[in-house]
Amino acid sequence: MLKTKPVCLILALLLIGPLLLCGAVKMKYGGGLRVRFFEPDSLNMSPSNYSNLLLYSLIYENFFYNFPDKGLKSNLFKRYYYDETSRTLTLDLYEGLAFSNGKPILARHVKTSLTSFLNRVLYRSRKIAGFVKTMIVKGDYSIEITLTSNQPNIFYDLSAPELIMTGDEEAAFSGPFLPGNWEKGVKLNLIVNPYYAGGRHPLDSVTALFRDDGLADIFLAETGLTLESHKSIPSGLYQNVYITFPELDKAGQNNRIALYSLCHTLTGLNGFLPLNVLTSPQESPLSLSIDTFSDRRIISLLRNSKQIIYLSSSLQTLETSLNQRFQSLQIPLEIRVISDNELNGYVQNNPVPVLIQGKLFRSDTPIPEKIAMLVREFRYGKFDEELLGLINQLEELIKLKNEDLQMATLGKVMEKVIAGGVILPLYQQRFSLMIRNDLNPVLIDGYGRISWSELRYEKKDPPQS
Amino acid sequence: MGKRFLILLFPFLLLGLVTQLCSQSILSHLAEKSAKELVSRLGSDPLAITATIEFINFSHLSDIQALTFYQLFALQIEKTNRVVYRDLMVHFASGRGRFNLTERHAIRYELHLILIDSPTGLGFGATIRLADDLSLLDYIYLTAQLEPYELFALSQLQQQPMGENTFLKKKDSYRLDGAVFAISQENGAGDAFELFALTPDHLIIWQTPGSDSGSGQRVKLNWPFPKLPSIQNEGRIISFHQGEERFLALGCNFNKNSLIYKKNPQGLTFVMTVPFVALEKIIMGGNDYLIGANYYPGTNRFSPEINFLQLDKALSQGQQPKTSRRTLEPFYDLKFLLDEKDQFKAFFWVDEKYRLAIGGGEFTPILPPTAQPACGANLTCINKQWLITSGIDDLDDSLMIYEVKDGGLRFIGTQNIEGKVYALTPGNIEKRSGVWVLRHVKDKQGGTINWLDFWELAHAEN
Repeated sequence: MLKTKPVCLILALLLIGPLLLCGAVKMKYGGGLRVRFFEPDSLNMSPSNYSNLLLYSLIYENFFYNFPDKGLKSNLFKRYYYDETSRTLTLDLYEGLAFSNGKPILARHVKTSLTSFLNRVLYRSRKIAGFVKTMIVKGDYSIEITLTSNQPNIFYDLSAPELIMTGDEEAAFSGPFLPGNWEKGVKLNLIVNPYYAGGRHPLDSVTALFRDDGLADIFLAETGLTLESHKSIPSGLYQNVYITFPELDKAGQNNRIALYSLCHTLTGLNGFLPLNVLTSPQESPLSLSIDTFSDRRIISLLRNSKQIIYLSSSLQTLETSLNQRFQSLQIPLEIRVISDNELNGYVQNNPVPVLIQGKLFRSDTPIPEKIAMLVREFRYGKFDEELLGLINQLEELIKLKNEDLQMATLGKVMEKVIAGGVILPLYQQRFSLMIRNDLNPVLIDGYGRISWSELRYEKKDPPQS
Repeated sequence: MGKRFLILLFPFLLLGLVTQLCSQSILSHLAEKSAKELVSRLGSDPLAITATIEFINFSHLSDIQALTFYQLFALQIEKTNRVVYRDLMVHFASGRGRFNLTERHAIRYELHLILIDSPTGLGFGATIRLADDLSLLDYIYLTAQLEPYELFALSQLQQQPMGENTFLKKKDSYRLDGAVFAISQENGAGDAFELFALTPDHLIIWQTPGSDSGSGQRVKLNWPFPKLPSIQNEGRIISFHQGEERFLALGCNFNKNSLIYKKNPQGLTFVMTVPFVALEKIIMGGNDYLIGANYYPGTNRFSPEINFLQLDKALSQGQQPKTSRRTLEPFYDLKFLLDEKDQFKAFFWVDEKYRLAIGGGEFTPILPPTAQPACGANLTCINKQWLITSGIDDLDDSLMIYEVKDGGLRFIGTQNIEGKVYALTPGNIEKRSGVWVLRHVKDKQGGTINWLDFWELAHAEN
């Protein structure tokens, strides 16, 4: 649904791009940008939604960036190569780089950052962890990674947005900006990082707004929004919201259907479209039927229930609508919000019968991969034998690029997931980036993030933030 | 009938005036007549230095027209070779000239000039005073009739350079590695010279003209931690002598320190770091100083503090020496004008609004930055006589040429060039002075090519 007001926030920072031809008239430094975001729980990397993905791209540097038309790029490594014969990946850092606190960026930080990424409950993390054999630091600036199998596209896998350079201390940021003053619920001021590996950003500061305060220079909105002052750039991403049942063996089927029916028919949501397929209606080749109950049936099943519904913090905007729905049917359910950063650990160590969480997808990711990603990440290691077997089979078929068999297996997986009430789709959000007209050119990477280094103000003097 | 004839011939007259202004206009005639008259009053003392220290336009002429008159007048005096004339004018605006009076003590005769309207056209007045006691020596007053069409023709000229620009001639061009961001030349014995080029990790040294720019000796540079990365690298290479020894100072915008190397027959020996980007070595008060400033980290402009490092103390101590400072304004480039004995005479800088400014011997501004952007971000001085700057155009660039030998600023002309000027440095090939221009040119694929050109000064100026 179209809104005259932006639904989502921010897309932060855009880089005022440097002049390719610097000379008699030089690139201007100074000024600021206002971007609108959802407020994260913390500044620890947890890219559970698009807004967080963009905010973190301001303060953390990725190992690699992959632009569809320009290919791979790294600001950290002066040399990176993969030897197919020895299946060894070598990464050589630029010398003299530092984190925002002035401490040097060394090869051991590459190892700890990569290890941290591989331990995440993410599809890509698990995939890479599956073929990394050893990581050996050689001196201060070089690391060798040996693989168990030949992976010629390893660098593209390493361009995952969650793979960031982190330091020994909390205050060690590696991105073009570093956090300054944070007024909770209001804004976060970001100041330029003079040590940024990609070159000191032309802007002095960025203000991340967490509430509406005039029209921001950049923000995230529903697709289809038009503004005279801003241009709309398709992000190539969408976010789905699912209800999952981590304690599947303890949740009765009727109970699951009732909870799904209850949460699937919320009203008053801003920018969330009902979703009846696991990925997206525009791309799903298989139609599925998902059972639902009437309100009367829901009340009869849940009126005496004292269940807790866990909600990931990045979806906290749903909390009010959920409570209203519960109250309208006089169902005494409690909502408990879990921080995105703690979600994985909490679910693995605590009984969480019902969880509502989101998953960000690139539109161009093949469907089998999306499904495999979804199941792997949302089951927290708790599979039944049949589902695990189907997922493994699907992933093998993805590697073999056998599309016919992939689709056949995919159908079985989706049927198993839906019919078994493992993961049920609730809503979808599609995003456009709204960018001020005088910020150009706009270069979007494969993860819907703007390349800061390309974007610049057309006016000679950028506005002060 | 006469006037009707003139109206019919007007376009041809205008064309004639525009193309031959200097020889035919009344301004030119008045300037010539005034100069001759002046020289005849002063001509008995050919070694006495004369300079205009005041010029006011009370007439109907515009600033451009008045400035043109003054420049013609100065040129005519110099042509006589009978008077040593110092052109100290740095700027003319709002009917008044500004002059560099740093070396007023060296002037013998001071001129105070005015232009006024006379009943028949234009009047010129000059007062000649002895500089020692300001006593009045003589007074000149001449008039000339200005026709309306001549004034119209003048108004079309805008800031017309003094005749056709044959001042600079391109001699050589070399295509360079794209990482080169600073250039400097040092002359050796005979016609030999060394060309130094700075890349982020190396200093490249080329010998003599015609060398393959892809080759050259490479010296690995060890910049101190930490690096302050920049989107566009910039820097400076300064070569200087201290006693019998030769040194190189290498600075950049991605490190707070400059590297000082000593040159000897075996090569380069690292000596020390200094906490600023070295811009020049000058002599002040009998002492050698290395002068420099710091980039705002990772950016393309310098912070206002100018550092003065007394060289003999620094080189003997061999450590991070303390420096004294003066404060200017943030700037893109700064160059010094030295006299024959390498003593500091004046300095020029371009501020972050592309305004050209001039400072005097006491390191104080003489001319505040011009009101409008006047030049690009690069400057260099050649032969202690000429100032070359890059242009202010956003499209293709240009070189702007000024005569500054007396500490004044006389605009000579422009030379269009392809691409964007990245750095300028003085050069000398086969005893012919000129300027090295490092420029960027976009190729058809959207990438950038580095070119290094040598432009030599016109024969008469060399």
